[in-house]
Amino acid sequence: MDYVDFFKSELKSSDLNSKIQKIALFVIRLDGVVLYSNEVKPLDKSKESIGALAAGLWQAAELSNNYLETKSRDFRLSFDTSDGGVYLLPLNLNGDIHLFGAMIQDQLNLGQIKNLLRRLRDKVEDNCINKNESGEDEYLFNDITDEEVDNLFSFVGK
Amino acid sequence: MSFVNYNTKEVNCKIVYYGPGLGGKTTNIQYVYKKTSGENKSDVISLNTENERTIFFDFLPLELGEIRGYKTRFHLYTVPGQAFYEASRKLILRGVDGIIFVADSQIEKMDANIKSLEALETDLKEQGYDINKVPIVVQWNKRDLPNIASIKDMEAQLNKKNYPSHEAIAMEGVGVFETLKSISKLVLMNLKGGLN
Ligand SMILES: Nc1nc2c(ncn2[C@@H]2O[C@H](COP(=O)(O)OP(=O)(O)O)[C@@H](O)[C@H]2O)c(=O)[nH]1
Ligand SMILES: [Mg+2]
Repeated sequence: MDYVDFFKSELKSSDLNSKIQKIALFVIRLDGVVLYSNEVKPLDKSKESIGALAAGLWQAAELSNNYLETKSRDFRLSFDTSDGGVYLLPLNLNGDIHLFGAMIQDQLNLGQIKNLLRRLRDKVEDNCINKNESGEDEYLFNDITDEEVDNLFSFVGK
Repeated sequence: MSFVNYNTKEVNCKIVYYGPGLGGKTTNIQYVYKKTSGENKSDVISLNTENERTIFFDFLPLELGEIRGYKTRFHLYTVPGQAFYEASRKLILRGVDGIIFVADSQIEKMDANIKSLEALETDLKEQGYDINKVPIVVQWNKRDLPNIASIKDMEAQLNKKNYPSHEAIAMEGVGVFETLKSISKLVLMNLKGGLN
């Protein structure tokens, strides 16, 4: 099953569902591209920036941790108070590591929410394949003209 | 690596402004931001020191128009130029699709330009890239200053591989979009995926 479909169906049945209006969820590639968002407003509008920041945060934390000798496999990254904040988990889809990110607001029991998020992550890892990579070797666009490039930038105020 | 979504017909590409500290990378992105209009306009994210030197990156998501039915989105990043921030600089290159090397034209900055170009090569290698396969364009910035090297000298010392190059005065916006369009074309033509 594709993880996007899985997220949608799983969220409906999860205990998270009743609280989900206040939790924005993202699947983020380590280069910052957001692959999935549950479209919680108004955060969804800023998802590009959230993706870039989350990927940077995670990688910086990972490199910092490399200075330690003790290594654990199951990292989580939190920036939160007792009722909300940012929570990042690694998400392994067939060997590709992505991030499962949550932006959480107004919760009474954040620990419980985080636990539910980890369980959701585990379920996704067990049930999903990563079918977004095309594996194609051909070029998507052949020759591109200068005119086509100019058109792309037509929004630019002169 | 770029991301092509066939369902929603979108392409996402990552472009990184690289170069010596104070060469004008952040100024480039800020100018692009200033000239961008439309409801989808996003703010520039800047992770700075107190005196506005880039410590981690600047980031600007840019929604462009369509090309052959594909909605195009570019993610523009700058790296911190100073040697001190080497660790964070390397992270930004992860998944890069194209590089704009912003060189500082001032004669006394030639060494810094050369060192930065060498660092780019090392950084790319460490991320598993072959520098000969990554699209790169060069920008000769600060052409308005009096004490600058000639284009001929800069080409000879910094552009042995004959990348497309553009003169610029980023502070005034001169050459900013020319450079960005130039890398955009290379990046889009380099996109793998195949239209099926
Ligand atoms: N004279 C001149 N100054 C510039 C130009 N572009 C940028 N600067 C200035 O150079 C300084 C460093 O620019 P910045 O974009 O922060 O450099 P970065 O470290 O590469 O991000 C700033 O004071 C800019 O205003 C230019 O084309 N001409
Ligand atoms: Mg800067």
